[in-house]
Formats: sequence, structure tokens, C-alpha cells
Amino acid sequence: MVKKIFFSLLFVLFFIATKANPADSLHLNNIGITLGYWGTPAKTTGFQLGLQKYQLNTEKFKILTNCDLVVEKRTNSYSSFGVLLSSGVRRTFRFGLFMEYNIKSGYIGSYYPFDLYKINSNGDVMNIGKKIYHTFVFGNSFGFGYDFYSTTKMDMQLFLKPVLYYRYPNLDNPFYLNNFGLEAGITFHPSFLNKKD
Amino acid sequence: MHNLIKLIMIILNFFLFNSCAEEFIVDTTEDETLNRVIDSEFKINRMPGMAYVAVNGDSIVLMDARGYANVAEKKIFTPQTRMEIASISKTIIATAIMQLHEVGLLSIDSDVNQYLPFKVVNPFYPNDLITLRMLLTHTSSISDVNQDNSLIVLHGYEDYPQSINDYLHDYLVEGGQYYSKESFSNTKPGESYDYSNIGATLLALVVEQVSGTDYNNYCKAHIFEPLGMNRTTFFYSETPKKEMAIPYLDVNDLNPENPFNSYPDYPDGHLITTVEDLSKFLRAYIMDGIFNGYQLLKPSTIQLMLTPNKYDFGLIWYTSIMANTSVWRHNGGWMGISTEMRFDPITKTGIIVFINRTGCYPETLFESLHQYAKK
Repeated sequence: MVKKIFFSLLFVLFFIATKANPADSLHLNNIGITLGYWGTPAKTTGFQLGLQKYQLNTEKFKILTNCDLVVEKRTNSYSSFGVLLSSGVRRTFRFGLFMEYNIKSGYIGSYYPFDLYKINSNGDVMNIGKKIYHTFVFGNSFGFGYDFYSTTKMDMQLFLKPVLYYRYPNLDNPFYLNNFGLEAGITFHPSFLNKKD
Repeated sequence: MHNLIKLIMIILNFFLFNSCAEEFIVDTTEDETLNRVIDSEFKINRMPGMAYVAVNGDSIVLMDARGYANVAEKKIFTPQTRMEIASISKTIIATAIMQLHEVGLLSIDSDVNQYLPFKVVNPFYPNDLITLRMLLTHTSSISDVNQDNSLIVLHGYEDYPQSINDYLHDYLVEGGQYYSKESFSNTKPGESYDYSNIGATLLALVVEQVSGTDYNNYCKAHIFEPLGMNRTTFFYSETPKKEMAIPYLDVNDLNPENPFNSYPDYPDGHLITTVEDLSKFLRAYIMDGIFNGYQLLKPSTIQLMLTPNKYDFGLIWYTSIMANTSVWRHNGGWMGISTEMRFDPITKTGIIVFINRTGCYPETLFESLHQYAKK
């Protein structure tokens, strides 16, 4: 039921976004930098740093793409590094409040700082050293934020986006392969990234 | 922008460089090496806690634990910590059946209906018999599909109130509350393999009917007490909650609200025991049926139970080639529970591992422990 509502809402958002008139585009400052927290609440700590670009930029709707570097650490266990690409739609309401949905995919590698072992084809136990587990990530986020541009003309946004993501392969529970994360941070649009010809 | 790309390249290089460590064989019969392997497997598999035992002949050569039985309360997991062990419980059913077979109270090649208060018939093959041997090899055509459709679980630290007799009647007999044609598969009894919890519990009902004793009490009198398994039972009501390991369904939730549960077909999975206790049962199998001066089963019975069919099943026990060695084993999996028990009848060695999280079967750990047991 929740899934149905979620996807219906998503469909409506995308439908409305496609009806937005590109002629109304705000052509200034399409590229921004995002900085924020990325990780599983209370379980891992991490941060994200990325670039964001508006593919469509109107007062009410934005279609955006992101490329984020994410780093996270779990105490006494692994450190992860990843690159996530995302694409989404944002609906901005009065006073600058906005809702945003993104789909994400990318790579996360988790580095374990202790020796790992495996069985070889002869049945021997092998020390394989300190290794990285490479995982493919697919996920989505649905969150909200505040766009200061509407009220102050300052081109900056705050955001809070819970993320559900699937990592494969995965060392967590096979019955609950989804991981839960949280993105919270700020996006700003420095002029050096938005030079006009 | 170029700086950003450079940064990505530097970080990727760091990761790739570190992943090229040299690989080499280690000797897990050495205590220090084995401990390093166990620590590594414990951490990488994110186990809340685990207990393990390695046996050689009738002796324990290693018994220890890691982590927590209860993470929130920092209660250490020990070899005496009690845990539900899921499907390993079925080896107790097989043992009870074969004990009754040995004394001539039943025959494993007889029609199961000879021993039941109701009649079990596959509606797709109404003229074909279902024998105890078929139930012991999961070829009876009794299916868990219907159970998956209407899984009955009582959440909380209390035993399920319904008897196995009533539950199985409801599940297997037309007109019963849970009956459907899907309680059986559309295959001739005895012809194809279909792992069945219900079929195993039906064997426990046979034990009750033939012995005239409640299944738990039968097991206590003929298996647990003679072997000295004093911390073993099927019921919460006979188990102090403070001695139980919390089963962690989700490793991201280490303070679950209501982790315990019970179900009506308890014989197939709800055995509560410790690695120390269960090792006595395993050592009896390793030592031709004798442990603690008690003949659990005759050697010829064990031989019969460990004769594989075309599906690599003996009687409930099954055989696998693990790390180039043929072992007899059973494992268990349920919400918050992963367990493994295996032994090699040739070297008379075996291992048991209990892990209180879902879906965790680290073969490297199992094999390392087994190598240690063989030293």
C-alpha cells in the first residue's frame, strides 16, 4: 500500500514536471555543490560531497542530477567509499519549501582494516589480507528542504533526505537487504561553477 | 573540476593498492591462527554473538564464544547460553523415531497412518502410502507451501498453546482450519524431494502416539536426560529467559522489542539448547551411538541413518562435500537464528556453531573449526 502511494506520488510529480514550461527556466546558477552527512543513523558516520546540476530549472520545478562522493565508517568494522549518481525531481512550494525525489545508483567499496580469510578449492584456509568488498548500490530518496532563493535571492538550499538503498553483494541480513541512510546538508551554487559565456 | 577528478583517482588508487595483499594458506590447527580467523569472521559477518564447539571423539577440543547474547544489556554470549536452534531440532525427531524403530514399536517403512489418530492422504495420489522413511528423507509429498501461505507465529516469550496433534489435523486433514490441497505437492509420495517442516513434525506426532508420551517429555526421558543435556527443552516455560540469547532479526536493530516467538510445529525448529549440551548429542552420533555411558542408538541404526539417497539425504541428516571432505550435517535458520552442526564419521570429528542473527553461515569459520577439531 505504502509502495503504491509512493509510486503514484512519484508519477504525478514527474508528470507535472514534464508539463513545466522550459521557457520559464531560471537559467542562472544551474550547478551547485552539495555537502552533507551521509550514513546510517546512529550506526555509521560519514559525509557526502558532490556536484548538482539542474537539467530543468523553473520556479516551481527542477529536474536535477547529482554526482556524489560518499564516505562512511562503522566503528570497529569497515570504512566505505563510494560514488553515487542520482537523478530526481523537486517541487518548490511557497516560501521556498520543497519536496524532492531521487533515484540513485553507483558503487560503494567497504574496506576492512583486518585480515580476511577464505577457503580455496583445495579446502585450505587462506589469509587474503585486508580487502575491499565491492558493492553495487541502487536506491532512492524522498525528502524535503528549504530553498533560500525564493525569499532571500540567496542561491542556497538545505535538505534532509532519508535514503533506502540496496547493496549487492551484501553482508547484512539476506531478508532485509535494504539499507537505510540519511542525507542531510546544504547545496550552494558558487559563481565560478556557473560562468556564462 | 579537475581537482575533484584527481581526488577521486587518489582515493580509488588507495583502495586498489590495498586490495592487492598477498594471499597465503594458514594453519587453523594453531590456536593463535584459529583465533584470528574467528575474530575476522565474527567482525565481517556482523554477528551480535556466537558460541562454538569442536569435538574429537567423545571429547571437546575447543569450546568458546564471542560477542553478546544480549547486546543492549551487554550480556556475554557463552557456551552455556541457551538459544533456539531452528532446523537442527529435526535431528532429535529422527533420533526419537529410530529409537522406537530399534525396539520394534514402529517400522520406518510402514504407512504413517498406522500410527496416527487421523488419516493423512495426498489428494493428488489418494492410493499411495506415505511412509515414515519418506518423511525422514523429505520425499513424502507433504508440502510447506500452505504453511508459508498461513504462517502461524506467536510473538512473545510464551509457548504456542495448540498441540501438534490438533495443528497437524487442521493442516493435513480435509475440513481442518488450515487445510488446503497445497498441504501436499502434486508429486507421487516417495518420488521427489521437497523439504518439509510439517512432514518432520508429523514424525514427532508419531513419537507421541507410539510412545504414549508428550514429545518434549519423550525427548527428555530418552535423549536429553540420559545424555546429560540439562539445559535443553522445546519450551520457553522451562527456560529462564535471562539465559537465552536474543535472536536478532535485523543486525541494524540491536534492541528489538519482541524478539522471541513460538509456533505450533515446534518439534521441527524450536529446540532450545546450548552448544555444550548439543555437543553431547553430536558426540553420541560420532561415537557409534554411545555417550555418557548411554546407548542413544545402535551403531547399525546410525549406519542406516547415514546412508545417502540420490538427494544426499540420509534420515533427516544430509551429506555434503565441504572443503573436499564429506560431512554429515544439519543446519538451522529462522528469524534471528543461524546454526550449523556437522561431523565427519571417518575422523570422528565435528563442530557446532550458534549465531544469534539471521542468515549467517560463514563457511570459512566452520571449516577452520573443523580443521582444528581434526588436529
